[in-house]
Amino acid sequence: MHTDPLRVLISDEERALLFSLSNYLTFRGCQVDCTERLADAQALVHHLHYDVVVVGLRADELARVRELAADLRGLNHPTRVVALAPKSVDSESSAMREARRGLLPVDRVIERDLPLAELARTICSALVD
Amino acid sequence: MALVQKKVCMLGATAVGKTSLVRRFVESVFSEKYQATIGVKIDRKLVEVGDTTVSLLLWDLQGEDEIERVRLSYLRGASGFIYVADGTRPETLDTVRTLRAVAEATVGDVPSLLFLNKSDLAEGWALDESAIAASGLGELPTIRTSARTGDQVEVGFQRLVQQLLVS
Repeated sequence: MHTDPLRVLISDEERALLFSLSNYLTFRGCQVDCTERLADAQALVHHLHYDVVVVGLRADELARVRELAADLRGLNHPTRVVALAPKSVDSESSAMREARRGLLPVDRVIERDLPLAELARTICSALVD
Repeated sequence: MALVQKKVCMLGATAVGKTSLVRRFVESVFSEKYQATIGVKIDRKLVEVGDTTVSLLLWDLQGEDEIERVRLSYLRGASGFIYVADGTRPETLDTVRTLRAVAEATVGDVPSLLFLNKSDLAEGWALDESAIAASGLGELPTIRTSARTGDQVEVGFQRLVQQLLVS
């Protein structure tokens, strides 16, 4: 039986979301690390093992998300990637489109524009799917 | 030229200036706007010492006033530590003392420095030699820094790098 806490890394530039999600998931028994910068997440996954990486998608950082996912695939430790995608507003639509079409190598896409509590619950359920 | 990589963790209480010191050292900038670090930031800077290039990985950890919250896994693999206290807040030395005990128990005795930051705030300065000695940190090499003006920041990081290379 798996009794270790789920190790989760959350990377998102929205500080309120980072703070809320990390508190929520910690309360639910996860061991949570946070980074605001995607580059930090890329560095962290080479030093620490995570079961799940939750990453906020931004149109101008899709290449980094691909790199991060590729890095994770290259590690011995299996890690699932959950992407938080914005709604298809103009400036972010390419990120959402790519995620929806499966063009990004992520395991799950969740729409981020949910009320924070609902988003936290959705992510939490995605972690144990 | 030899290239070596060293991981250094910045440790200290909340709002002592860890992120500002890293930004000053890596980017030569300072912002008056305070924004607490959430989680961890990792910056890299190449430092040349003689014929060796040190790729310095600076782990800037969220300031912790509750020691039990420090993630020990962040500390593992560190080659050195920079402890940071705020020279205008003597109580931040207590946090350093506690963090140091945790870091040494996790990583062992590795090169370390104590930055007494905010030296530009001369009027509010509240740390003298006796306060440092009384804190139990007297044997830790100490340097007064100012992330705002940049005073002694480069010197401090360079000093640690040189210690890392001889350890």
